[in-house]
Amino acid sequence: MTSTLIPLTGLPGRYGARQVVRAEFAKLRTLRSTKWTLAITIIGTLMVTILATNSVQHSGPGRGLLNFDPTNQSLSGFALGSLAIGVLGVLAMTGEYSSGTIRSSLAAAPRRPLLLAAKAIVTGFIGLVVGEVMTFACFFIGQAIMAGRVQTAALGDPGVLRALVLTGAYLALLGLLGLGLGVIIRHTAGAIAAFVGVIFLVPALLQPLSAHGNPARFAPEEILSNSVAAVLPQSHQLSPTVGFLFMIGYCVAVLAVAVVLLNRRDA
Amino acid sequence: MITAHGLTKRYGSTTAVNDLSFDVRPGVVTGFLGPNGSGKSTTMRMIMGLDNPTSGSALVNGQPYAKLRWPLREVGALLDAKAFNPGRTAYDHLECLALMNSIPLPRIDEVLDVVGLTDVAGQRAGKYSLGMGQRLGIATALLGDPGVLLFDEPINGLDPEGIRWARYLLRDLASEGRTVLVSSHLINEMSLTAERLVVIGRGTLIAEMTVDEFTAQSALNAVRIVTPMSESFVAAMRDAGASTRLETDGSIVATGMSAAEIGELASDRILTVHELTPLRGSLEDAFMELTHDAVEYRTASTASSN
Repeated sequence: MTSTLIPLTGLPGRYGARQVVRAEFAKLRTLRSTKWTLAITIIGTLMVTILATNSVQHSGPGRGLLNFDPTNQSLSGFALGSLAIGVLGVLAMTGEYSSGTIRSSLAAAPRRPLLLAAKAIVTGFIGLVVGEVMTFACFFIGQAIMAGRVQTAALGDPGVLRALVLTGAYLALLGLLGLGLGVIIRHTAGAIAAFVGVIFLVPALLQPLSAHGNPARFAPEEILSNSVAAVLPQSHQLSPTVGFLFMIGYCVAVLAVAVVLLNRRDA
Repeated sequence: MITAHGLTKRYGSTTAVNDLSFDVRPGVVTGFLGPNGSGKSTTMRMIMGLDNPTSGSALVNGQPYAKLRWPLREVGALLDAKAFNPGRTAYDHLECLALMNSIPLPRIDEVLDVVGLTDVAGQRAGKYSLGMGQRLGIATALLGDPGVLLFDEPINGLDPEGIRWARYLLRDLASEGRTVLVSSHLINEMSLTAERLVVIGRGTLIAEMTVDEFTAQSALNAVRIVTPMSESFVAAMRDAGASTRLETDGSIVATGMSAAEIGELASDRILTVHELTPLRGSLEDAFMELTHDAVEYRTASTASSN
């Protein structure tokens, strides 16, 4: 019966990042939810971009809109995109807990920080690629739609390239934030709720305090729309660099808590 | 080779596994036996490094699980049926795990063939029956051609043909020199599959012995005697140091003497014997006897009769 099995030959060395990262890519590739989540990210972001740029009207001949940022306008779809990429990050972990796959994974790769690092690499990479492709696509589509009606931006204009590259990278960070919350909370619904809370609820709750130092500017979604994706300097908002660094800080903090809990808890 | 040493797991004030020490040797199937809730699964998860022991240690081939170089090539485990994402096909599930330990992908088709899932390998595993899920779990365990195998209740959900298949498979794996630990709460199944037993109750080690020793040691080995001269027989037996019990049908059940010894005694004392039957206590009786103080969840009727 087992004689049909050819014995495996021994292998030197040890399993490591190369093996686990490859496996994590395969995990995402072999799940339908990945394709759905990415499709929603792409379609949703494009649709909002088209609607938002199409709604921009002339303000009269020879007069540009005061304080109008055409780059930022073409990136308005990323509020929806950030949600979808966060869900992808959440599912990378909670999908394992809900199905019990986590035990198979840890049996194959018992070094838990390595497993989490591999998931972070894969989630970050996909977020980065999708993010960069989408920002540039949305920028060009948005500028084309607005062309002839308002002043549009070109890639060579000051600050435009920076805004596009950082916005794409920001999507990767949002995926990592989702991943970290997924590890900490372990349940899909709870982790998605937490992610939505951080992204949409926190800035809304802080809105009444806008006259008192505008604490909402530290919220991830506000950093995205008012700092990172902005070309014109905005008052009472973080600068793009500071905002981006804040977001990196959030991710590091959440993932640090995640790795401690993942190590300590029973699987 | 699996070595548990002083393995203990507490959840708050509840002790799930208490100072458990045992060895699982290569070359034979070792049955890991205990009533429901006795700590079998927790122990297996600690061996796999999935649950952290409160104290004590579990070593696989002399090493903690986390130190293994290619874990799936050293240890294979079926811990719970359906430990896979329902949205993934059986092939994809195995591919993801194979990649983690650089297991050549043709191996996937081989293990799928061994467990009989080749025809449904492209189906999403969420559609599998419990038995098919178990077969996928067994394929997962065999994937890395490991020398140490752990199976937690592997026959759950298998049909009679599947149970027989699993039994042969486990024995074959052991006869190839592998270390095989199989948990079950069914002693009769274990007596057919296992050669050695590790018996636990309430997380504590009750016995570590061969199945034969387990049966022989059972206090339930008795002899039934049917005789028209029961009073003289009981007296003679008592003189010989055996203990007797008179049954309602008039027969005597004696313990402490073999059937041969009783036959010789009857012949010496010129006592008539109509029937002399060795009552080999069923394994189930022996198991119940051994663990009856250690049953976590007892039904009311059983509890009142004890």
